[in-house]
Amino acid sequence: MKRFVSLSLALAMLLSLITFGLAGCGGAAGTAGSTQATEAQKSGFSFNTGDPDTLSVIQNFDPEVFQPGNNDEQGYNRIARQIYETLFMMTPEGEVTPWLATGYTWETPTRMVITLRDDVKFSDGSGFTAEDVAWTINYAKEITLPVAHYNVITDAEIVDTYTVALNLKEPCMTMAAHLCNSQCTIGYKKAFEEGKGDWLGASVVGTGPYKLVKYTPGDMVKLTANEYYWRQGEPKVKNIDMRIIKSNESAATEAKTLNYDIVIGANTREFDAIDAIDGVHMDKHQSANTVYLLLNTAKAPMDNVKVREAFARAVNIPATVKLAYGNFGQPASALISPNILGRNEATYQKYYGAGHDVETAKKLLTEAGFPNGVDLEITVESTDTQRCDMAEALQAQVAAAGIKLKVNKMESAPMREYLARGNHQICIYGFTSLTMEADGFLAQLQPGSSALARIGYDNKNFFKRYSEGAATEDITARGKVWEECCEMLMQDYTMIPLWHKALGAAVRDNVKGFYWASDYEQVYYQFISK
Amino acid sequence: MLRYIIKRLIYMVVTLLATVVFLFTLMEFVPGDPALVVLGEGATDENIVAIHKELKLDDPYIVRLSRYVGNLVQGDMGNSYKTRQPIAPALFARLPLTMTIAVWGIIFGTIIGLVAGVVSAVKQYSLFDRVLTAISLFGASAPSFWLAMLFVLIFTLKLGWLPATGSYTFKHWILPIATIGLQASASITRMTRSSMLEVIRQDYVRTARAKGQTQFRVVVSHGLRNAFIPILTVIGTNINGYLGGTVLVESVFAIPGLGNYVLDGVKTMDTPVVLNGVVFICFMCTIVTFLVDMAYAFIDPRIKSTYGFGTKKFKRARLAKAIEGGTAG
Repeated sequence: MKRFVSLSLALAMLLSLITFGLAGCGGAAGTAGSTQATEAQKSGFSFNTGDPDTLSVIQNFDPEVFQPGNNDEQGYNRIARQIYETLFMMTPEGEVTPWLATGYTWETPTRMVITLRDDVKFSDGSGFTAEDVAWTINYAKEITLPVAHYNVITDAEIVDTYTVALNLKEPCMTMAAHLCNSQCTIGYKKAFEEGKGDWLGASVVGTGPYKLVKYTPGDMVKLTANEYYWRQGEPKVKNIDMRIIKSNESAATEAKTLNYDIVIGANTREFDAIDAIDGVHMDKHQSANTVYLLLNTAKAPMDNVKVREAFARAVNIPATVKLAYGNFGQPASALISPNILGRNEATYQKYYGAGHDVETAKKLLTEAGFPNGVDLEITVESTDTQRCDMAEALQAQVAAAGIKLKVNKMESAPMREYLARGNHQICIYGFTSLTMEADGFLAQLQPGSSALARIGYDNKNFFKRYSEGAATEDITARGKVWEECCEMLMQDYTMIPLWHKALGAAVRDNVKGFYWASDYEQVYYQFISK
Repeated sequence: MLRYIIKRLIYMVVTLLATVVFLFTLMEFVPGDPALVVLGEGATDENIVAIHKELKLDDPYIVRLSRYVGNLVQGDMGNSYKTRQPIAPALFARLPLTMTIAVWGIIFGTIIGLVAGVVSAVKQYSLFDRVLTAISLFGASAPSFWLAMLFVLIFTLKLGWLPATGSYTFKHWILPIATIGLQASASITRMTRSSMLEVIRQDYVRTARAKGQTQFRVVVSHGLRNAFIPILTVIGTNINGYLGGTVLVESVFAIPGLGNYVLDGVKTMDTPVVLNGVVFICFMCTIVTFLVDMAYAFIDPRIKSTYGFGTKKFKRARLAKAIEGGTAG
């Protein structure tokens, strides 16, 4: 009896010691700082919402590493962009404005010369020069970082201390807009070399408004103001505590508890419930992203344009969008989102304006050789509940026209690969006009890009006109070319726009200056005050 | 006893090696090009070729397996495809959180389960027994994520007593541990009850009662101790399950544990993360199984005596049995 009791107690104590021992030694990476538990104890479980010097934020992405251009996800760059900055930046109105650069000129159609600011310092007090810009771009290309914006660049060349030249494979007049993207942030060569590429510690030095204090994998990122920041009076709030919560349900719960100043990633279905709570509101903004039904023109029977048109007639877009997103965002009214160069509502009306028409869909299917209907498959990301809802709604709608639609739900990464291999017939996918011009998404539908397989499009004239558009310096003329390219995609029924995406964040009422940058769904915390 | 330990350790190493080879081979069949994982949306044909070369993806299977096992033995788990950072530090950073939930959940569940199971068995068919049986059935059948969300709804949003997410203070740990504990207690209660019901009908328990021993001593010393082997098995199985399977609870409470890390690897098709995460969880499970095996030997003297290092009393008993059977001990 005694031995049994003492053995049980000893086992329990051993296990407790192991877990607490482990909890004491593990769990934290990154640079020095006080322990997480101590900080949390100081503030209870509300994350300093009352502290005017600290912004408490929930993010839905775990960066895992802080390297410029390491990841093409918006969520990653929403964090990294606070530490590193870009050469140009998109204004809230969608205009390109110099940021670390002062301007640029085209020496030839394939050589862009960029002049840099001479008053910018990294967070260790060292000066920012052309060497850092050239190194960042060349290194990203050397180790094949996933920065699609650099695909057109051959190399970056130092002209003098504050001038850098980009040599391009082909003309790209929207290059400055591409360089606004947070994937194109600039790193610090010396910190990389001295830190031996430690992208969780010594190499994480940027020119951005904040510097990294501490990173706890999967849990928290702590940032503090860069005292050498080149823009006077910024950042307005000294510290940022970012909690990482990936579950959109849990993020919505935290938004309701009012324990955080800003919550990004709450479930869209909870937006109205959050909005109804005193002290917090949903900050909504139009995105440059549109969600589409992509029709794979290379896969039978979708290789028949009449089948594609029949599908377009069989779907009821407003009803589908209403079901999935309620009043958030808007049903598509053109191929690309509002405020994007190349958008033309008239051409959309021409091809999709007739809307839901079951009889025409049936007639078109008969003409295509499917009088008894056709079996099709739609691929959708399983973790995106709204898109899954849309797929199921579409399934019911097209059945009336004799289309038996099978819903194929896949995880994000396997789905990307499935689409890249062109194995699908139809899928729901979004494209973002990253440059606030149609080329931001048209570029992804060019030969050599894995995204082209999503529509399997092979229209030589489309590719030719795109290249001509990219080489056109005059913005008005370029806009016309983009409209033409968009019309080709609609005319051939390669993609059916469903929903112009909106962005939403739960923001406490005392937080001022929050806004979403449409181009890449970014948030610039340096402008925010409490 | 030493022979027993060595034998178990050999089993452990062989199991682990077989698991590593099996998992590596299994990952070979996962469809998908890692280059697309690395390059994301903007992958070009040219970049895909470069990544294949960098990651040596075109080497034969046997070369890659040998390289992986060789590196693993030296503690090198390789790099994540997605972040290009070493996997080992990321795994170890997440281990304490999963261990805390799993171990404390099990301790909590075991205490409740043992008490409830014993009382249920002793008071068989009483109202108490029926209520406890119903509760344990509920605990066993309710999904952990549902329990977790129910707790958040009640204790965070309605009552405001406890935080919804995180793992910073004692208060943060209450709901995740209670969720795991309640689930674990259900199976422990049921096993304790059935095991105790068998034992308390044995002659030696009746004899103990006849000798005038107290109810507590009869139940704990003669009953529970003899009923403990199957309960220990359930506890061990639960710990193993929770080491890799607290992912739903981790997700609801936003605790960045091992399960979440591996799940993210699955979602992004980051096969090195998945492979190493699962291998690591298997390693932890074999250690737990080894410890449970050791505990068997301490609790059940028959196991200890089988390996020749038993107490004098049992050695004598074994010798007597051998003489009785006509063979030399």
